[in-house]
Amino acid sequence: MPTLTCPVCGGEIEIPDDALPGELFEHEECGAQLELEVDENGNMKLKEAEEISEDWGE
Amino acid sequence: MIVVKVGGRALEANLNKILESLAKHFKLGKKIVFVHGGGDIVSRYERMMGLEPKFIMSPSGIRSRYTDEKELDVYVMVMAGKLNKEIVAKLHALGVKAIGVSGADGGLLKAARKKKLIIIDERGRKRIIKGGYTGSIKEVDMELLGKILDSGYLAVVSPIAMGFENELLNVDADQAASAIAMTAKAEKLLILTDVDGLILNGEIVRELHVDEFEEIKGKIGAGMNRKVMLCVKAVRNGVGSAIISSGLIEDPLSALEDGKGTRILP
Repeated sequence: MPTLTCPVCGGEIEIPDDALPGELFEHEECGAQLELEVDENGNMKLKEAEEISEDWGE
Repeated sequence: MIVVKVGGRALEANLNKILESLAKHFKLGKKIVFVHGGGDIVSRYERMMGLEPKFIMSPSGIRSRYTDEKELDVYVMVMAGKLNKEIVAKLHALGVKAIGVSGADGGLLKAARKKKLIIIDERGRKRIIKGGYTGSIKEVDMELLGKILDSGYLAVVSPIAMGFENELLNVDADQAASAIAMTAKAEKLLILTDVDGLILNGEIVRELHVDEFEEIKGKIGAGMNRKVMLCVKAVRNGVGSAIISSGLIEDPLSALEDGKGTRILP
């Protein structure tokens, strides 16, 4: 499992091997909601997830 | 003025009775805005046109259509075209002067496009995806609807809005009805669905005051919770009362007077 750095507290967080871009993780140590970003070379990093409300179409 | 919303399932199962009930109340002199859903009908036409509808699940368990560019085309064709005009034609056959409009006509509904959505994916994991062409209603311009109603017509509204970049957007019909009712300070908002109303602990809740919602909201299923929340918001913002009731009965609009369903009161 890849280990990434939490952008909020700097701690480590393990990501499943099959994680997909946009997947959300909660960092148990600091409680941050994090979103996985994957660049065109397949490099993974985490960013703080934005607040998205559930407000959809028909 | 009364705003009546009917979901797609009730509409498909009981269209003629719903329209007869609308006609009866309209002929009593009520000003009526009728907002229709129709997601299942859109899905059927998508399949006829070789598109497989895509659905996504929100973290709170609400299943919604995922509207990409091709699906938006079919959505607009069916909602603003086929279904809306079929309702108008059937109302005319019942002696009701009706005009069908979408939320895009006359700038009736303006919505903010959802650029991103948060879903539970097929592996049960939370993920952020591109939002497609759905929107959250931000503004209602009642000028056109006001003219339609004042001229003696029943207004039939399909759940389409204009985005802030002038794109067409799929918007939730419950939200459209609630937003129109709030802006018009409607006397009543009636949401007709395929269940009898809000059911808690196996029993129908006949009355719910807006201040009681916070206590019970955790006990309501995801789809109904959203309807109740929109009704509470409407009543808090000037709508006289809101009713959630069955669209599957003989005279669904009788719920406006006879205590059927769940009434949401100030």
